[in-house]
Amino acid sequence: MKYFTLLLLVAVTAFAVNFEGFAQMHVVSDSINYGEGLQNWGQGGFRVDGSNWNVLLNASRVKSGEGAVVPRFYRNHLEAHLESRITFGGFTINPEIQVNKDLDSAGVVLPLSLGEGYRNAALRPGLSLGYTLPGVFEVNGTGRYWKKDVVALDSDVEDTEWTEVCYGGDVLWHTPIGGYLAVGGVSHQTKLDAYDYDQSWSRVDISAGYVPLRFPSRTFLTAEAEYSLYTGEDYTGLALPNRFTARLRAVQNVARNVMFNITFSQAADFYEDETRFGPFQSAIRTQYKFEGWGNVPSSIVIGGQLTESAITTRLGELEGRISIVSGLSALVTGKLWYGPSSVAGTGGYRTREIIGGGLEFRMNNGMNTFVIYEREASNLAPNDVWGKIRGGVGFYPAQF
Amino acid sequence: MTRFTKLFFFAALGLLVFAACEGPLANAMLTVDTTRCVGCGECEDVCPYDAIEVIDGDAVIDPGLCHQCNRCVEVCPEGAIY
Repeated sequence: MKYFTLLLLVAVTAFAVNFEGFAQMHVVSDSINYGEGLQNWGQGGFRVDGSNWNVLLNASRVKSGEGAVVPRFYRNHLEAHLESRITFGGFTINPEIQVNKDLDSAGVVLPLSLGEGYRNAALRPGLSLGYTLPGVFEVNGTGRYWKKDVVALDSDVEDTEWTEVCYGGDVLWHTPIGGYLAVGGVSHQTKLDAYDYDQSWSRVDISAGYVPLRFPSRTFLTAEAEYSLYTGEDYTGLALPNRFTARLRAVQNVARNVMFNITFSQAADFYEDETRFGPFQSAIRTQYKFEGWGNVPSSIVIGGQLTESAITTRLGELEGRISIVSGLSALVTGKLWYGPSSVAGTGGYRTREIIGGGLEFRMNNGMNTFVIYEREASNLAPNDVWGKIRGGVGFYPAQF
Repeated sequence: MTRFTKLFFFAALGLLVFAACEGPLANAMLTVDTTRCVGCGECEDVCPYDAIEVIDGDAVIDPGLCHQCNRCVEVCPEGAIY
């Protein structure tokens, strides 16, 4: 009887779960140097869903090239992320673990000019707990531990263990007049045992948001204010300033298929002896959705962004997917970018002008493949204009 | 607009004008716009200081490790770091 009950339980569990596998691959190459510019990226995994739980395994491998003119990076590593979520009542338990294995050197710079090194592997277990009473309040807590195996290059100490501990939480109350009040905090510690390096910082956030309950139809407005109190030091040993941030976000659906999204934020940093500007951000995005000629939803997005902090960035972008026939869509992309650069000869800033087009094909069985060509112009010499081709294939076939 | 909405709007505007009148343009930390971040991990890969981790789909910058080299700003395809 005992075995029969166990078998019954296993059978019920097997039928109650939903299993879904996925895999995708992505390759990039450019006209500057086909070999060095080659990047390939592969990802695969599965997701198992039960009635009140799920498990997600995501494994990926990234290999990317490096070039002196175009700022590319070299990386060859495996990453696996196992995540699960259990819910009951209003409670959520979310244990996870992430494992990285570097197949080639992944260069890092050690804190406080301790020298340069490379990472061999990393392990990051974590646990999140939460309770939600819908529409009233939410309580969340998270703890994470990082362990990185690092080898120092130019030091008497060759092997060191880089560990970080981070924990935090927040309480959020949804007010009856619309909006919320929240108090949260996070504490972070970094240690390199071999160097006696031990640095900590922590932060307490007090924030409030207001969402007007009565507004014209198809209009959504959020106003948020947050004050963050920092304790501890940054990498230079200087105290971290407290920061006040104000944000406004407005979404307007002009028609059923046209949407404007505007965001605006400004921060102020409070040092001991003075107050300075913090980052400023302003962005606008508009999206037009339409049916096209095929069966894939079509859309065109046009956006722009300006940011100011210790650096300035400007971004204008265009992205479009236009359905042509069943499953086949045309892709359009364009970008104007101005921002900081570490490439020699740019004077600290560079511009990028990108325009491109391609095709995407989606099959009914879950296969999705695409290829896109982009032409990029920049202020980098001598390679001020070059071409880049990207392609990929993804499968989302397995479902039981 | 209700009276409370107007009051909040002008109070926020006043605070912004106040902030804009104080001190030189400077900043100790880079910021991630989580509404734009898609968690692609390009910033994590390019950071030579190992100061960025993608957690729950968003990039998180450790101010204790960030040296403001701005490589992450440069590679971010969404313009989410500034």
